[in-house]
Amino acid sequence: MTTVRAAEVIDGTAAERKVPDIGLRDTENGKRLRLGWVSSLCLAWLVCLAIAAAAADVLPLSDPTATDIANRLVAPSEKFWLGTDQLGRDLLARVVYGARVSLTVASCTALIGAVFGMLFGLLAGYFRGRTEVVLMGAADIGLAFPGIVLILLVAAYAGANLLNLILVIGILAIPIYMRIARAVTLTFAEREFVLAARALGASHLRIMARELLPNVAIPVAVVAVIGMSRIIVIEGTLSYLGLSVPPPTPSWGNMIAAGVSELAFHPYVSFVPSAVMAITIFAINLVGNALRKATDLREARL
Amino acid sequence: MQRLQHKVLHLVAVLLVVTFVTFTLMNLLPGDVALAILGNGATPEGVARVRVELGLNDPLWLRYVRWLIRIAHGDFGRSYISGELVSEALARSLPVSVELMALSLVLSVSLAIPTGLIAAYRAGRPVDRFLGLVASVLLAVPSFILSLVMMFLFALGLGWFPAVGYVPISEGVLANLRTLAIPVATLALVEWPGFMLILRSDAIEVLQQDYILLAKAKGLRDGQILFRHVLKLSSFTLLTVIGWTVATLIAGALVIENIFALPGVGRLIVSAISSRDFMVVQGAVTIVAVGYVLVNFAVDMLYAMLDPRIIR
Repeated sequence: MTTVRAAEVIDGTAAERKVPDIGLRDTENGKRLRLGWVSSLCLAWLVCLAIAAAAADVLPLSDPTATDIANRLVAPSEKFWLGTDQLGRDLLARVVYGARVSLTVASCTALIGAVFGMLFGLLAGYFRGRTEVVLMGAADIGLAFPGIVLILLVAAYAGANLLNLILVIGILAIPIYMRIARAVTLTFAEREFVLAARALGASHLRIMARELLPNVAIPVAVVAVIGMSRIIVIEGTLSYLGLSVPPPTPSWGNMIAAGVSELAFHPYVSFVPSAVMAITIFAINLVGNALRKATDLREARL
Repeated sequence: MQRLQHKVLHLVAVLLVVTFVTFTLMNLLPGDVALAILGNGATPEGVARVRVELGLNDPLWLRYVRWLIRIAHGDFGRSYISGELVSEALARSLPVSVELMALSLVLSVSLAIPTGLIAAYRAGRPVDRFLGLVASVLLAVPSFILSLVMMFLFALGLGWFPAVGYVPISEGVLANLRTLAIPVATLALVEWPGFMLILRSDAIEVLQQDYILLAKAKGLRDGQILFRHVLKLSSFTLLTVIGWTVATLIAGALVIENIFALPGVGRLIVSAISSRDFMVVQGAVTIVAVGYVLVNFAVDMLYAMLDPRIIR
């Protein structure tokens, strides 16, 4: 991890300011880190999926909710690349639109968890003492809480919609990021560049924002990437159970659930969204692990 | 001893928070519980009467304490819809969930021990790579998708087992196991990669110890070394991992029960949510949450008992 340090300011080496490089350099010998071809493929898949989901409205896709009884349960063919479901809806369009739900939930929750977790973890690790006891005590309780139960309760009582889902999963993720952020902060808080900044008269806020945050942000971001695959699983599970976005809005989970009744004779109705989902999760795991190796979290291990 | 005190205090705090959240969320419900009980023909007087009966006019904390005392006595109220005692519904569905979880835990650990040890012993070789690949694929497949694949292969394709449904154990152990076979196998496969990978990395470390070299020098066979010496040390790690997986096990069982129509707690919760039967949701969720916290505590304690360094 090469980030700006106050010590470099004193040495006058600050001119060599480097941006934090995630996954681009092998930290040990400074060579460019090469993603293997599998990881590159995975990254390409994720990028394509994200672009397709974002641009779904302008892509030449059929309406994902338009039913067409004449063309129900068509196997993957030239006209319908991935086939149609029992209402004649185009599975390709539904899979792309469904990606919106999964990717929105995954990125928003990861963002909520990472931002707040980083903030609280940084405060706990920097100020120590009572702040740390209170914040980390809360995090411990949060981690001991069975998350699935809370998600179900919110779905039951507050209603199953995207916003509720994002909020509850995001909040549940905060303690994990807090622990990482705190651990990383602890390893950096006594380092020379922080002491130097303090000696130069920097305020707490400045030290945290300028010296510690860049160092904490990298491992937290890496964990956030890996965490997104778990969130996609959680969202998929909930929408499979009918506890996420209500139909007819397509999501991978509710598409899979809708295909179960056709499993015996038209398995592709379930297996197309299943495959897309599994590939996406696999891709995120692989890219996340490549990032982790590149940034080396060893210092932050709990 | 101080650590034990600290642990117990933590346990109590977590239990209070968990039950309080469960209770409060239900009481933040839009709409009146009294109205929900009485249905559409409710008169204002009737609502007022039920509100007094249920103590809904009292402050939240008082209602929480009262509710806590009631559930401590096993009184979870009655279902709004069927009128059945929630405790009876729980007594009916809990054994199904516990059986499912216990069987799959046993199955996945007994799969993980030989595979993990072989992967460690042949680290970097084709066997190890193959197992690693299978594990990473399984890690990427959510449990509900794996359920469908298993159902497709073994119930619809090969026809070995029924696709859905459940025969209680009282109607024959074999029939019961037959209906549970695919769900148990699915849940076991979901848990297996975690166990296998941990055991593998742990065993690789143990295999580099001097006494393993000594055992080899003594002329012990590989199998003996692996299962006697390596497994003994690694079982400790395995135990903690089993503790950690309680969460995924509960979540997995919850989903799988719904897919295979097993009448367990997970199915109870989801069907109660969809019929808005909140008394049942509250009772079942409380049981799951408390069970989860207690199992985690028990594993923590077991861990401390096995490793004297932690107690001190």
